[in-house]
Amino acid sequence: MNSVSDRKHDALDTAGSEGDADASVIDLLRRFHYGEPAAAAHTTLPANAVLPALLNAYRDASAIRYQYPLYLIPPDGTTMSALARPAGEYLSDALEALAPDADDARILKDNLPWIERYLRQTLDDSDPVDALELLSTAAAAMQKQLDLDAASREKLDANLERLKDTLAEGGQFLGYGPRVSLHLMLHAIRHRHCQSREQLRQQIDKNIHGLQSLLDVEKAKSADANEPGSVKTSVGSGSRHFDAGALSGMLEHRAHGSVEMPAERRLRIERALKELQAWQDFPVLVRFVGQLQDPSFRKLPELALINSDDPCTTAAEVFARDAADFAKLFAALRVAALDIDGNYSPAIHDSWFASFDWQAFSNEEMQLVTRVVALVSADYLACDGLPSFSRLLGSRLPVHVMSWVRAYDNPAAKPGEDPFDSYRFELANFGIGHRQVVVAQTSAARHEDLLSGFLCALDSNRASLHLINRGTQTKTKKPLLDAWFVASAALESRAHPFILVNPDGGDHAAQRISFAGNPQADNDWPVEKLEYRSAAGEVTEMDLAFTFADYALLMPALHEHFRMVPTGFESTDLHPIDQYLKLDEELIDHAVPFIWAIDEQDVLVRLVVSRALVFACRDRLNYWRSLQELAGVQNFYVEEAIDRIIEEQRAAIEAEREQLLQEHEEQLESVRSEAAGEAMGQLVDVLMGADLSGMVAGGSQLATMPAAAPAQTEAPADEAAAEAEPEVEEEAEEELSFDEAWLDTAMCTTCDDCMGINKMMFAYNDDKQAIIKDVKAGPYADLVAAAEICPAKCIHPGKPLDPNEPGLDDLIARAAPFN
Amino acid sequence: MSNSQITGDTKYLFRRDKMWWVKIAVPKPLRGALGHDLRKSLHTHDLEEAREARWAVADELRAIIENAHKEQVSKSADQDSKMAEIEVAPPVKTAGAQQVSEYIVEIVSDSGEGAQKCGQVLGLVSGNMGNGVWTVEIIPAEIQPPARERQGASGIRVRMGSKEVTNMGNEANMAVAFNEQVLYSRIGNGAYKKGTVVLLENMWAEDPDEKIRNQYKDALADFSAQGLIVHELPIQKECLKLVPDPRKGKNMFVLGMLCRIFSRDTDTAKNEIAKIFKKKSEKVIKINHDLFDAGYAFARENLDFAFEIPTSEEYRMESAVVINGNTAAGLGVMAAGIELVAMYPITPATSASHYLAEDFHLTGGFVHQAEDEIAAIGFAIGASYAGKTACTITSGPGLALKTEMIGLAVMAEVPLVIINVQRGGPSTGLPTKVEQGDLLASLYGAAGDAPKIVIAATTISECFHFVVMARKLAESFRTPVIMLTDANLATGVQPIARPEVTDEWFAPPLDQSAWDKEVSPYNWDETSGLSERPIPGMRGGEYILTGLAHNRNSKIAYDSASNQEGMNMRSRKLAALAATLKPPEIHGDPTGDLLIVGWGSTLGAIEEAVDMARAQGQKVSSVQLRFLSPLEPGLKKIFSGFKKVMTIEINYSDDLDSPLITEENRRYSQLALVLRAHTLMDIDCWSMVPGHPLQPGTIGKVIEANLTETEGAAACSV
Amino acid sequence: MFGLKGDWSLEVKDRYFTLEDYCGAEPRWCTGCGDHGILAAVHRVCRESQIAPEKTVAVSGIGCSSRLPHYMNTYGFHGLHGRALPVACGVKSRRPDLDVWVATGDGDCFSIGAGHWIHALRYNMDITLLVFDNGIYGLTKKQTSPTTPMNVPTNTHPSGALLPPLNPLTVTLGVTNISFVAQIVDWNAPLRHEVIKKAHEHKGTSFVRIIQRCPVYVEAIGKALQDEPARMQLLTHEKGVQVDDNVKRMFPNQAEHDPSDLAAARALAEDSTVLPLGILYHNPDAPRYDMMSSVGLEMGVDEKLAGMNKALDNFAI
Repeated sequence: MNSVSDRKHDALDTAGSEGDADASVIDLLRRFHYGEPAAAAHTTLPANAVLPALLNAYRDASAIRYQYPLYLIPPDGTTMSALARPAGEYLSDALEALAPDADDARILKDNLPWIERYLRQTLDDSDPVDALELLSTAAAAMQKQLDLDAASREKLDANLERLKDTLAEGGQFLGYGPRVSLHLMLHAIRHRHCQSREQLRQQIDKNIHGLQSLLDVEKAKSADANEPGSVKTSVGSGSRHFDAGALSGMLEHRAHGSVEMPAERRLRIERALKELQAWQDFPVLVRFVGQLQDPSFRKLPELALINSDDPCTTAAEVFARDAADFAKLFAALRVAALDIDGNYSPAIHDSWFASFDWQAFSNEEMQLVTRVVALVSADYLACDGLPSFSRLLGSRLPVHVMSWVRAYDNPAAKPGEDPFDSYRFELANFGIGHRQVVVAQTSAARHEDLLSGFLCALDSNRASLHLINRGTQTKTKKPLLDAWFVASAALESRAHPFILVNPDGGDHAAQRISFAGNPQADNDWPVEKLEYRSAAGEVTEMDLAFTFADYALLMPALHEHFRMVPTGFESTDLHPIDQYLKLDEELIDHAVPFIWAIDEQDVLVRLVVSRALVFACRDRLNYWRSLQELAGVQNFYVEEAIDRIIEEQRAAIEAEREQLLQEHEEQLESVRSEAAGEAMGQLVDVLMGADLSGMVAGGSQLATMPAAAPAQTEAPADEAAAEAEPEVEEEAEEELSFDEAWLDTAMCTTCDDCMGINKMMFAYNDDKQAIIKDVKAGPYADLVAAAEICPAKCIHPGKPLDPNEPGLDDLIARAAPFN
Repeated sequence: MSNSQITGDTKYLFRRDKMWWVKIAVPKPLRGALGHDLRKSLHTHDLEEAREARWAVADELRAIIENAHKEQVSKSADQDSKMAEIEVAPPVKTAGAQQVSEYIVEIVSDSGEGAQKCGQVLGLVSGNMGNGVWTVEIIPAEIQPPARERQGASGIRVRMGSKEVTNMGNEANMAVAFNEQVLYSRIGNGAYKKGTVVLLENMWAEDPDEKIRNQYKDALADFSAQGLIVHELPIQKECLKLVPDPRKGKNMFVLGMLCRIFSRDTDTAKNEIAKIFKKKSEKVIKINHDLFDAGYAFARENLDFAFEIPTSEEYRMESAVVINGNTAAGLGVMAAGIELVAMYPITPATSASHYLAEDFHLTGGFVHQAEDEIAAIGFAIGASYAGKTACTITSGPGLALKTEMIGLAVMAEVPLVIINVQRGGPSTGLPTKVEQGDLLASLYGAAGDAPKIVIAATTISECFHFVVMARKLAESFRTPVIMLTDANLATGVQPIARPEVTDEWFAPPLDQSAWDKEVSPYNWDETSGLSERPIPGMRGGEYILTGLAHNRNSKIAYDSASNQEGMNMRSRKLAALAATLKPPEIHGDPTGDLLIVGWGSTLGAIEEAVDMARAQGQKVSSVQLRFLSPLEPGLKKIFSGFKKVMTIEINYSDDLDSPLITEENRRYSQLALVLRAHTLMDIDCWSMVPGHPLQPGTIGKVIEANLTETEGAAACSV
Repeated sequence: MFGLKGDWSLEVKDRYFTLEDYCGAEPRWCTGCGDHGILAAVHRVCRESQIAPEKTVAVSGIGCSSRLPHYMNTYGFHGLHGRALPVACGVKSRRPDLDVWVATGDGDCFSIGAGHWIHALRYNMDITLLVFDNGIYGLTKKQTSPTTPMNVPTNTHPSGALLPPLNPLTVTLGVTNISFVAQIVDWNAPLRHEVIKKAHEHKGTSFVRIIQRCPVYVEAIGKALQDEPARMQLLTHEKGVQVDDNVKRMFPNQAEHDPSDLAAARALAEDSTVLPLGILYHNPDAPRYDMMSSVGLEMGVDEKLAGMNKALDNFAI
């Protein structure tokens, strides 16, 4: 709980009666709120160390466990593997797995937090560090620190070793810093490309080998293979016993059965082969394009840095260039695959390969192309870079744009301009405006959301826009809060809501847009409890909304928009800003909005908020709500619609049911057969027992009901018929089978016996099973003989056609067992 | 056009896919850097154009070779200077080391004492120094015979010479024995002569067991009675200074001694020792090196004799590999691009498969150990039929079991390589010992007339190269090829010139093109009987292979005409092959008193014996046959140049001096029988089945005997 | 979608095969011989699999059964008596791409080829092995075969076979690494077809013993069973073969049997009173030798040359 107290004592010594004093105070504050310079001068600015009430608890980050540092899990070949986990969490889970019992590795368990803190301190905004090394140094440091007796020291060492063994080869620790998102992008790309380049190499080699063999085969059967020279060499040193010319001549005698390859195929194969052999592997997986005067990136083989003043344009060009090279390769690979299996048909494929470019790449192929990421400042995108930015987003090129946004600021604002003088340019909306682009507005403080944004973009083969908030305070030297908390605050306060738009999701906004990561997504503002001790000393709590204004207080630059409310001053006109924003027109003129804050002495204070900032708050709130609707959260149209439809359905179903019951009455009349009767009985039960209430549940389900209902009734009716039918038919058949000869073809074993007896009468069908081709093609005697000899007993002679056939009685008697 | 022969001047030119290329051979020393030859396409189909263009390109290629040469020279320059230094400080050369042109030493012990390792290293080092070498292992019949058993002798013979050594030679000059008993079995084999030096472990003299002490005493007496010069050496005692149990390690001590005695290069020896123990720890290597040094020092201080076998440049190889005949055959299988060997364990063939099981994967091959000999060849035939010409490796009894399948392969014209490492027969016979007893079985052992190609390797090197040839012939002539080697080649170890394998030795990749329906599966060429075969997977080539009499369409045909035609065509292929063969080379003069005809592994011994006889002015020559079916051409002509022609073989023939044996009922040795039938000439034979390779000396005596016999006799007549 | 033309260009070109594409020469078997039916079933299964005729190889030994390859329009190998299996295995060893059938008989497989029979089953290469078991040597004119029932007179045992017949099922089910064992009679077309189809689909050596009528020499053997269907027992199970009811109707005697249960299969095989029909045992996961024997097929010339030199280096001085 919060040890905050609300000490009541007189702050301003105000002359005259309480009432007048209060009146003048609220008046002064209101005048400040409306922006009167004089009032601003006579009221007190918030002390620098003041924090929004709800954030007071986080003043000392070192005591708090949060997501960073991260443990970056190296690619293991599968695309499914997790990419990263908070180091602390990873280590303790690993340790738990190693030593499930509470007493196992007790010392290490108890001191994991120490290690975690050590990691965080040593890592602080550096590039990722080899996990194993760092953990080793941490371990050493801890041993030194704890300075245990030999025995426990050894135990601890042993456990530390086991813990180290759980770290995968190449695993890294990443601390929270300004370049976190770049590192994670690179990491995500590594995962997506793991193996794929090797597999490409193998595929190339396989096809080279395949094509080469095709050519070698041709060579082996060409005349030169038998030409004395090659004959001599192919016999090896034993050739000294031969007259090569004679041998060659002799071999030439052979007629060649193996057909030679058509010239154009050979040409095609040679071309493809050349292309494949020319391919050079290269390590670069991604190209970062931007104004990178100080890339301050460690040189990494997977990474190429390209400087450009117009990153969006350059990125597009760079991708096109890479894609062109890959297009040559992929075409060659496809031709190779087709030709190796002998499936290349010029009629189909020639034209296809004539116009083979990156737009023809399969998803797998597209994934192999070197990634291109443009690193651009939000200000540039919103101002000078806007046209090329928009062109890129519209271009279909799978190029990624990454930009850092300050959540309180307006990227379109001129340098030095107050962010609240203009309404904010929402880059995310601009991206969404291009519809076919992956848009991810996320924060470095939430690695999971950040990574899922990256992966979504990397897997989609679309252009993508990543708007990332880092919470790093460039202006002040020593921020009050650790950057991670500032970034988190931006998220909490709706200053920087998360949104992930994936056009592959479907055609409806709700299918494309994910709202994941936003706290209390269906509220206007997240509401948290604040506990504090009143002057009286008893612990009380209140609900506080965390608003944009609270977030603004974190920006020293924006302190101008706040003024202290004198301690102990009360007024009905003072309203917490979230309440204030809900007030009706007439009240709002007198009302003065404030937020709760806490100063360095842990004293709870109130800060009046300027009107400009209030406008900004309202603006963010509107934006937040429109996002909610896009994402299908809190959409009152839908709610309305559901109610309406449920009503309609209830009516429809009633009518339906009436009608059905009628039909059944009629059918019950018409159908006599007992079976059918039963069926109807069941049917009626079904329908009587039908739980209609169940049908009234969520809109989509309802939509299908009307169609479903009749179908349900028809089905049983058929069953009824079906059940009635067989009996009738069987009788009919019996009748037939006595007269006409027939052959149960399915049972025929193709033994040829009946054929042997009469080839005209019997024949085979396409499955090489016997049928009676022409019963008149021979005497009844043949039929009977065939029936007798047939091993499958599948010939039934039936009754004789010609009553005058000799010895008929005897034949009929012999036929009897087979009918 | 594909059949068009190329005529006229094609110097430097060769054609690939109708395009003309220039090819310039690279001199051996540069092949490491530049490969076998340099090629460049002239981008023309026209021969005339090519002839024009070639000169420029040829010069260009020569330039490349020139540069490479210059580089190498400059490189080797400093190496030479090093060499020079070494020359200045000559390698361990014993003062007064006696120069000999060749020397034979045997190392014998109870099995498990590592005598063979010791000899192998001595052989390697000698080969490395540029000596000719032949080593042959002495293998006891049982796997673990009891210690100090006369028949339990296990060891190795190493023959070192200034020239190339092609056989195990005559009696040994020196024997190192770990105990006196094992020497008896060697003496029994006539391995030694008067004056053979014996270095004998003397620990037995003080053996706690009186029986052993006496055995030792008696043996010493025996040996000196037989003229062996025995040096008793405290090998055990010396080794005990370094290791607790010298049973393992004595051999390295002895190696040290021998390296001193024969002025061998100690560094090379130590490298080889390190190689042997490379899987073991540094410590083990160190101990063995110490033992080696101890032995070396011991010899220096205690033995007053030493030898030097000068190396002659003409026999020095660019680069060599040291292998036995079976390993050579295994490597040959790989070099031939064969992908499958199907076998069933049988001595002495199996070690070839053991080797392949180790390394076959390097060329993508697989060894199938079948359930029996018949299944082994059946499996191989299956793979061959499916387009992957396979190989099966066996020995006499296995060959007998395979005959029906060989008949099938002949009848259905399935290419196949059969390697028969001959051993003593009949029946189980002499499993570990040499004989040339399977010639007739290979030629005729099948139901009906089953003409096939039969070749015999005469050297370890040919054990390698003939597999490559066999594969090529099997496919070109669409027939099984039997390649005969024997236990002598199989166990003899020798440095041979390292083969420069080229991809042209490999079978071409599997042809899966469409098959021209106009061409029948047995489209026999009237002249040569040759035809090409469709391979499963070739669309349009579908046919049913059958072991029954069949016509060109592979349809069963019992009618006389078809049967006669099939027989003609299959037999014709041998005539076709014969027509492409050169007559065999004659070793010695083309005319004379006596011509020795041999085949297979006796080459070395025969030629050595012939050389000795010729050195004494005898008019004797020899011919060694490699092709036995078809026979090499021109034999009759060659034979008619000599008063007497006889074969020398390691297989059975009646001795005319034996009871009941007459000119009429005499059974001739196998090649003799074949040659007599082939040439209608009165070809004599001398053969025996001693179970060990023929020694030049023995052959020398035979030559002598037969020369005296032929004196005055007329040239042998038809 | 999104400008990506579908990846259709790798589609295999269509070749459709009819029954005729697999039919070779006109069969020369006696009329009424069960072999006709088995051949028809093989043709139909081939057609259903649509594997190209040139990719199909029918291997056989010697005997009536072994004439089958000649009646196929595929590649075929009509080899030596008893030796079909080694050859078939050899074909498969380096050509896993080929679809290999083996047609053999009770003499060819159980007698002269018995050794290969046991070991081929153990190798478990992907081969469909059909044994035409008519209980007699037909081609050589009525000699006793390993499966001739006692007291049936033959030309080698005129007073009837002396010893009880060999039971191929117990032998087969006793072999380590066995993966598919089924038994059918030639005269039930639907069951015959279903079982052979399953056998062909199985990846491994599928052993199918087909009780086949030889009306010429031992009509009695087939007749006895046809007249007394109760002597046969149809094995039914979801993992076994599925046949429709009018086929089931022909077997008064049926039993539920799980093909993955080896012990149960062995028990069925032991039972001399009834003849189990259907799939006795099926283990899709048994190791396959053809997977091992086909190593290195993908190796290129350069790799091989490199390998060759590596091999030689081991002996270089």
